[in-house]
Formats: sequence, C-alpha cells, structure tokens
Amino acid sequence: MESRTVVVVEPGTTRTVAIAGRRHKDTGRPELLGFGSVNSAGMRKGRVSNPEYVAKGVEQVLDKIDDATGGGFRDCIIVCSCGDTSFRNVEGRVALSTREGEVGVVGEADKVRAVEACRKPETLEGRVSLDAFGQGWRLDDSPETVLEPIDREARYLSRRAMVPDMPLAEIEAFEKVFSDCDVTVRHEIFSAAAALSAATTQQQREDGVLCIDFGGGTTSWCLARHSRIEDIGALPVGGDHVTNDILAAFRPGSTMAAERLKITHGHAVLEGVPRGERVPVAVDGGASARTVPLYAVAQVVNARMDETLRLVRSSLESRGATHLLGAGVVICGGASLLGGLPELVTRVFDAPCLAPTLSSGIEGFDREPARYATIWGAFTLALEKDARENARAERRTFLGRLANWFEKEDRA
Amino acid sequence: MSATVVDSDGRVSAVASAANPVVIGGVHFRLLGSGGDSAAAAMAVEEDRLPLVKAIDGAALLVVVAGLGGGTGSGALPAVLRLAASRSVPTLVFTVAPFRIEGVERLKSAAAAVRALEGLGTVRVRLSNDDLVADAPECATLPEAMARADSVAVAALSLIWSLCARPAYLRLDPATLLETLSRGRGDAHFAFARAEGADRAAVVAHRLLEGPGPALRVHADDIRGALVGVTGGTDLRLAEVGAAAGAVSGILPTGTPVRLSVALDAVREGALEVAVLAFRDWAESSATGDEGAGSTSIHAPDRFAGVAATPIGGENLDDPTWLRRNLRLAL
Repeated sequence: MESRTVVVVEPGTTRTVAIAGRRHKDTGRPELLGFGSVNSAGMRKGRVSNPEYVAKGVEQVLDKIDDATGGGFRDCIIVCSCGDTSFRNVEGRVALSTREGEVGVVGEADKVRAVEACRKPETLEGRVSLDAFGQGWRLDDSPETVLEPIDREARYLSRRAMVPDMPLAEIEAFEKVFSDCDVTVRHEIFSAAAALSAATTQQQREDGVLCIDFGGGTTSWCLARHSRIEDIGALPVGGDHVTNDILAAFRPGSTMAAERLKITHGHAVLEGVPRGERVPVAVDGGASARTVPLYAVAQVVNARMDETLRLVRSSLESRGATHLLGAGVVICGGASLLGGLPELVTRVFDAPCLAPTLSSGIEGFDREPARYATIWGAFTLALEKDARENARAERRTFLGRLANWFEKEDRA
Repeated sequence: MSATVVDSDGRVSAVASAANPVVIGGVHFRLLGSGGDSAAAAMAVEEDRLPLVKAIDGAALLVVVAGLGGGTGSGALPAVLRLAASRSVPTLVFTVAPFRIEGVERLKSAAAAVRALEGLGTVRVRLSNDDLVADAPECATLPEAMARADSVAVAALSLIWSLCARPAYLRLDPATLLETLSRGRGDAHFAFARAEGADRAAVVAHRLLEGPGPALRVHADDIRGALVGVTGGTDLRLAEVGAAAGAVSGILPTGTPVRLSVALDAVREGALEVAVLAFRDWAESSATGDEGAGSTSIHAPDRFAGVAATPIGGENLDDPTWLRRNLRLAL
C-alpha cells in the first residue's frame, strides 16, 4: 500500500529546512519528493522569538517543496530542539488473558495495547509530552527487559518507554507560526533522536553511542545502548553563542563577519594553532580591513565548546550514563563542522569521536551527513510513525479486530 | 524560609514530618531507598519533580545540604540543582563526603558526584564527615560524633538565617547575600567555630584558621573573597567581633574583599559563633538585569537581547565564556 506524503519541517535557528516524501509502494523505502532550505530569522536558542520572521521562513521553505508534492498538504511534522527538554520513564501494563491472572501468549495486538497504555503519562503543568521512545518489554514482574516478546507466555506484558517533554509555551509558539501559514502541526520530533536514528549505525546503537546535535541555537543529545534510548537532553546553547563570543571578542563589525570568522578560522582545540599567525576579518562587502590573532580566535571557540561539552558530560554523569558509551560519540549539526571539535569531544568524553554516517540514497545528503542527518532521520521516523498509525487504524476496524482475534486463537 | 527534606526512603516522612518531606522514586524504589543507584535517583527527581518544583519556585535562594556516597544524595542533587537553575533560583550547595571508614566504593561514588556538579550550583562548598568530627574526643559515642557532624551543617543554615533575620548591627539583607554569592560563584570553603567563656574570641579565631575541622589557613592562598558571619548573645563584645573578622582578614592576600555581618540571637547567649564562607573566585561585577538573581551578567550581547537568559550554575551562558572565565586572549 502506498503511504501518504509526509512533510517534515525543521525551523532551525540558522536555517529552516523541509523535506517531503513517502514510502515507496514497491520497495517500502523512503522516497524523497521535495527538499527546501532557506536562511532563518526570528529564532533564538531553538525558540520562536519573532513569530513573523519565523513564519516567513516557513512559508518560503514550504513554497520550495510545494511544486514537488503537487501542493495541497495541510499538515506537517516539525523537528524541535528546545533547550528545556526533559524526560520521564513510564511503563504500560496489560493482561494477556481476558481472565485476570491467567497465562496468555503475547501477540501483536497485545504489544499495541501495551504501547497505548504507556503513551500518555500525567502531563506536567506547562509542558507537552512528545512521542515515547520504547525501551523494551517486560513479562510479568521479571526485572529482565526483552526486545521482542512475541510468542512468549506470561500473565502480563509491560512496555517500558521514555517520554520526552518540552515547555507548552514553546510548542504553542511553533504551532501558532505554522497555523499562520495554514499548516497544522501533527506532532513534534526531538532533533537529537532524529539525528541518532540517521547518523549512527545499528551496531553503534547496540554497543552504546551518544549522538550530539550541535545546532545554531541549541545543543541536544541522545544516548542509545542495546538499541534503546537511555538518555536525552538539550542545552539552549549552540553555534550562535560561538558567533556571539567572537563578536564580543574581536568586534568584526557584524554578526555575518563573526560567523565567517568562525567558519573559516574557528578551531575548538588550541594544540597546533600557531601563536603568531593573524587572520583577516572579512567585513561585509568582502574587503579585509583588519586582522586578528588566529590563536585568540581558537581560545574563544575552545572556551565555549569545552564548556558546552562539559555540561553535556556533567548531565550524563548525573544520570550515571557515561559508562554506556561503548562505541563512542557521534557529532552532527552545522556547528559540529568546527575544526578540532572531534579532538575536543574525544578529550572531554574520553571516548572516540565517530564520523556520522547517512545512507539515504540521496547523494547530496549522504555526502554531508553532519548537515542532513537530523532532517533525514526525522523524515524516516515520521514515515515509521505514519505506518504505525495506519496499522493501528486498520486494527480498529471490525475486520482488523477479527484478524487480531484469529491471531490470538491461533497462537493459543 | 522553609525546609524540604528529599529522600527515596519512605521513612523520611516519619522522621522529618515537620520539614515538608518529599519521597522521590516512590514507584520505582517502593519507598525502600535507592540502593546506591544514583542514576535511578536522578531519574526519580525527573519523575517526581512536581513537589520539588513547588518547593523551589518563588524562592530567592535555595540552600541545599546533601550527603554524598549513596544513591539519593549523589544522584538527586545535580537534578535538583538543574531544576533550580531552570527557574533562575540561585543555590548555595553544601555537600558532605562520607567517613573514610565507609569504604572505597562510597568515597568513589562521592567523588564522581562532585565531578557531576561541575557547572551546577551558584556556590558549592565541599565538606567531609571526617573533618566535621575532627574535634570530637576519642571517647565520643557514635551518636555524639554524628550530632557534631550535623551541627556544622546546621550552623551553615542557621548562620544565613540568623544573619538575615535576627536583630543585627551589620545586617545581611537578602539582596546583599545574593549579590555576594553571585560574585563568589563557584567553589568555596566553609569554616565554623563556636566557643564560650572569657577567651572565646581567641579560641574561635584559632579554630577558624587552624581547625580542628574545616579550617581556612590551608586554603588562604586561593581565597578571593569572604563572607564572615558573627553571632552571639547580648553579651557579644565589639572587640570580639573585631578579633574574629581580623583573624580571617589577616591570613588572606592584601585587598581580598571580606564582608562582615553581625547578628544577635538569644539562643546564643554566652557563646560566640563565627562562620566563614570563603570564595575561590570573586567576580568584579555581580548579578543584574532580569535574567534571574542567580546568574551573573557580564555582557549583554545584542544577539540575545530580548530573549530569556540562559542561567545555568549561577551563570548566564549567553555571556561569552571567555569573559566569564576571565580568559586572557592572546591579542
């Protein structure tokens, strides 16, 4: 069955990108229909600070994919990286037999019921719960977590999940912006989870990997081990702060000039940076009016990136999660392209810094995984959710329920 | 001023009923304690944060005393501090490391917990149970020794309370206290001494500087500012205040700012108590603006003008890191 077209928008602090596509009707693989990317304005630290400017960027990027999709879409999924992201662990438990306490055999329908039972924890005041990340299954009161419970016998099946949450006001601000563009937000995806799903391999997620998404306004992370997400978090600090630090240190004349200095000469470690060398500050218009010491630029960048990484490490340590990095750390996002950052990451986490990988089948994306992992990951996660919702809708029909009953009887 | 006791052990409700007990991880730990699992305790704070948020919200200052080495103190403390930072509430944190006799495992756990506090809390003070009972006589019973350890933590809390709330000649108003903590953000040392009798001023001065217990002289070279709080009864003499303040100032590098506060408290009649909070850092500027009293604004970059500040660990992360770290750029 051909899936419907899914549109994913990432309203970032530096750029707003959008992707439209669907699942291929024969191969089942994600099929790209359209892609757009425009400069952002009106976003600070992952939040909407000027709704009009953000709406303008969203309109522009949706225009770019409108032609490719034939237009007419009225809803989308957005990728968020709010600096105040937290999570709660929840568990949904269902009986496997209609007679309380009787042993039953786990079927697909039981899994769906358990997922639904743990999907909606009590919502904290002023916050919104996002889609849960599954953390495995539990049979009866066993402390052991199993990845696949199908055909196992037990009295109860429990689904363990991690539920991220973000401030309601920030989500509502995004929804208002999209509403002004006549588009409804179907749901939100946490950016680092999207990056993790696309930029890391199955083996890395099994061994233990931390994926850090260095965005313009935020730094978010997601840690996976044994193929389940163990920790997530975000800081409202990103590449914008590096630019601002450079602006304050060298007064290059404009934010754009500071941004250029960061991209061209920024280095996250001091080792190897020559002390005597000076680099030109390219002012707007292109002429090099003055020079600044390269080493001082590296000092500014190193101080900010080192602080940010240590805050991430500190958060992991507080949850006892640093020992889970069996494979290492994968970095992505625009700010991850800073020179020397892999060395700094290795030093701070005492773990290898791995290059992100992307297998989208689209040459432009796969060539620059650090830039496109998040949007591609969000797209594939959105397709998976769409497929799950379709399957759930089918189960709710009379024939679907009948099929579930037959499946159950057959297993019993 | 209100107190809240946080634990993962359900018995806290019985022993601390007057202090708004909050049991975290009730579902996961079944009220039996964290079993040394600090990661689970951190998650428990996330799960049960509503009562904590209620306790923190609206506070001008959060003073946290946490015992490290087990699961709850080590794991919950960073999570609580993050909650406070997210609400722009400045924090004064006292951590207490376990006795050495408690074993290597608990000491290691405490050390890891201290590392996890990097960047968290406005002012952090590290104490150890061994130091706190250093002046206990060898014949002291276990309850006596524990009571002596507790008394220093109590002294830290009552110092702040007395200085802010009791009749005072040099009153420490809350705004000054917050401003002082903002300037002295980061790690700090704490010393406390109490004495009675005719030579109480000399005894207190000696104990503050030399011990036993947490003392200042060994740290004198890395102290950049200090808050000295003196409390006593109506018999407190001016010369005694001068002796205590002079003893502290005398060992610090010339020009080190020392803020003195003196309060009278009827329960301290006949006694002289002096507590010193000695800061390892002292910022030239202090908290200003609307970004939260716990953060220090050094620079207000246009890039982040008009948006909420990023107060974490008592600092506004929107301010350039190199400025906050007083980094000398190779210009």
